[in-house]
Amino acid sequence: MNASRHRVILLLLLCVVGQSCASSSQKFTKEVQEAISWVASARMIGEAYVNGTIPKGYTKKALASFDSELRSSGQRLQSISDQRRAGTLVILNQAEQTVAQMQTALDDSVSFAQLNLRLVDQQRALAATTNPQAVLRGP
Amino acid sequence: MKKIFEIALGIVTSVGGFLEIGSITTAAQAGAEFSFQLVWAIVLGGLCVIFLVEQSGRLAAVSGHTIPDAIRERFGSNYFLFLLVVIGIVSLLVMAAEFGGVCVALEMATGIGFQWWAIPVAFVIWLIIWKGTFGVIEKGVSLLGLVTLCFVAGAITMRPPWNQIVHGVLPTLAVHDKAHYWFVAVSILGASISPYLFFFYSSGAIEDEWDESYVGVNRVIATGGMSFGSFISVAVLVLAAMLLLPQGIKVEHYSQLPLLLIPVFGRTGFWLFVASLGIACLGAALEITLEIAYLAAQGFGWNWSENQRPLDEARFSLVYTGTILLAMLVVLIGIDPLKLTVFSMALTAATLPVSIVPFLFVMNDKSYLRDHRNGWISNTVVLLIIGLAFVLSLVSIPLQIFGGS
Repeated sequence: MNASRHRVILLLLLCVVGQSCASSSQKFTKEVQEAISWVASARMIGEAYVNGTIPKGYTKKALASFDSELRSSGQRLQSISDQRRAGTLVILNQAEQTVAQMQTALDDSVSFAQLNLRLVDQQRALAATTNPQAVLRGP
Repeated sequence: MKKIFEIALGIVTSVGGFLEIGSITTAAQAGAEFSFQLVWAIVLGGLCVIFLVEQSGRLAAVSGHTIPDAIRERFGSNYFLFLLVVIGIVSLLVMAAEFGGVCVALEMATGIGFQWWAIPVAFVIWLIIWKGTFGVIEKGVSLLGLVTLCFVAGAITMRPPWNQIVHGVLPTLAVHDKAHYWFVAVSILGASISPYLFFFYSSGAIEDEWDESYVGVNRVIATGGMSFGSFISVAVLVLAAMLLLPQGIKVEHYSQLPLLLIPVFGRTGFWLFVASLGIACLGAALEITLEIAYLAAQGFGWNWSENQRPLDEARFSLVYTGTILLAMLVVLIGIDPLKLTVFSMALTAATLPVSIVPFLFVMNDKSYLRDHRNGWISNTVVLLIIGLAFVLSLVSIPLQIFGGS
């Protein structure tokens, strides 16, 4: 009787642990996808600015918003326990720095274009943390 | 000949006035996250709004009553007060979102933060209503709103997969993010079936002095205008599905929205987007402000008409002035206009039964409509869609707020 009760409790515990692992993994993926969304938005805005399609004021405001959202994403990621967290945070910080640098490089078209190209790689690397196949396909 | 001109003008103004920040945002979110899967929500919302707008125009043309007026007469002043509070709060939130939309468009154009535009925009909205006539607000701004057809041009230019879009007309279950899928569906329904739309339409019919001979005209305008209008929303969804989804972009900040047109039209696309957002939101903000003032004035039996001098309808003018000031305060506080929009659209869907159920009772009342009462098809379609929106909002809003996915 006692042994079977222990087995039931153990099974329940396993279910709870399994559920929490699954939900933390899902949370992690969702958070990374959100970060990818901000990086991709910054990259598309950057491309449009390089092509002279959008005004400087809007570009600066948009990049500042995406930068702040990326920082928030990084903070939320830090609270999720996942084995991929450390590597992802490194890439995310790099992407955040790139977006921050882009805001100060608006008058230097060459640097701005180079930073924008860097974002392409960072978006690809971020995507690879949740889906390794994404590296092959690219953003 | 005069009626044909009125029909054409009515359809054109309905199309020009259809899109606003709610329909742009919710359609863009749907396309960017669920591809063409949520086309059905726009079609369903469009269908419902055709029925409701047609009914509100018919009520005004046949009985000479607006909706609030008839609801107060039929259900008494206690229910009217409840309606006034619920619809008033929801409309105020939607108004603040539209107001924010105008400020965001100005921020995009100038690079100056949207909060800085709150006071000038409030003054312009107030001045247009104070000085303008109903015709200026209804037709003038809506005609300018035809610029939103650029979304349709953009979608067609992208050569979308028509078979997938048609497939999206049939409702399907979410593949991922189930709670968010239903939340976006509810927000789309809320954006389409805003009570302000058909409340304003019935007041407009009285302002334009419609009588029973306008029943046919009203039917054509409601069907044509709202169908073409919904088509613009579908175009926004198509653009988001084709341009943002492949890049992994989810629409969570208003700065992402111009990306719907920039890749298609380049520099012109950016300015077309800014113009579309600014004009569409200005038109909606004017209409909602007037609708809140109409609602209060019609319910309490005050003088009301946008064609009268403000001096002759002081309480009506006071209500719209107060509404503008409150919306301005919401924007000045710095609440994110996009988050406010999505929340207010979902809230609109949740509160739909409050206005629509009594309205349907009125539409079946012989003393108002005589031989023009609703048929069973109109009643069933509207009740089903409202029931669906209500149930979905009860389920998906808590799930969304408490982090379900």
